[in-house]
Amino acid sequence: MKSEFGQFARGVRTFALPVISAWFLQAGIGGLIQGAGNLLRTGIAETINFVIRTGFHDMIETSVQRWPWPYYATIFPAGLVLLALGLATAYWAARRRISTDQQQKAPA
Amino acid sequence: MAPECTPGWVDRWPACPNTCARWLFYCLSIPTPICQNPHFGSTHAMKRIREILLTDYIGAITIAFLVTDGVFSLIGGIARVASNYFRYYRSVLEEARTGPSWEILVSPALTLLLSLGTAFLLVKWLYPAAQDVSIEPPAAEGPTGDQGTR
Repeated sequence: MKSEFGQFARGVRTFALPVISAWFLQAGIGGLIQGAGNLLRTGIAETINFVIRTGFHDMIETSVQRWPWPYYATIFPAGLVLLALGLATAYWAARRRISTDQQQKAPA
Repeated sequence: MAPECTPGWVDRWPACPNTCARWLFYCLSIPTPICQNPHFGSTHAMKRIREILLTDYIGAITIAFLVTDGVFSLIGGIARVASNYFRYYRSVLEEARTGPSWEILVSPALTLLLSLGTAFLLVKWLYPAAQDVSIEPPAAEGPTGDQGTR
């Protein structure tokens, strides 16, 4: 029973840990991309709005309403935290892999 | 600590590229005389992160996740447009007939573009040697092979 659990734990460490770390990294990069995409989209829309339709005064008034600063203030730090979490998990996985390889290479 | 640079680069570059620019040059494999200093902190850190990402295919899985995320976001956007389109034709209420709005697709398309761009940069950074591999034609047989046929 104990050896079976050990095998399961080893399998999780070998296969799940890299995938989990990659998922964290993707979530972090995805968060940054989402924030940057929204920033870009709003920027393009506001620029078009400023150039074609409204004047400068209107742009200031509408931008205060349209630029969701609390959203950006949340999404970018959250992305960075997830990225750091992913890197930490990847570092852990890499260290475990190196130590396992060294144990296997060591003479009995 | 100022980074040391290879001799001759000053002729072409007005200033030593900063860390960000150097990383970008490295990702894009631009053959520029970039500062080479193994003791420079950020370069060493990036090298270490690259080594970690190459262990257990973590970088490759991340790239696959990024591409999948971008494609899924585009599929979601198309599905939303299609849903609006069908609602437009099947609604019995006059005020509900607003028509499909293509603006919904802007955000998923931008996400796809940025995801693919990031994945491309990651591929260029993690696997720079993959592009140098070229298929060489097999070596021609020696004169002994021709003699055997006669």
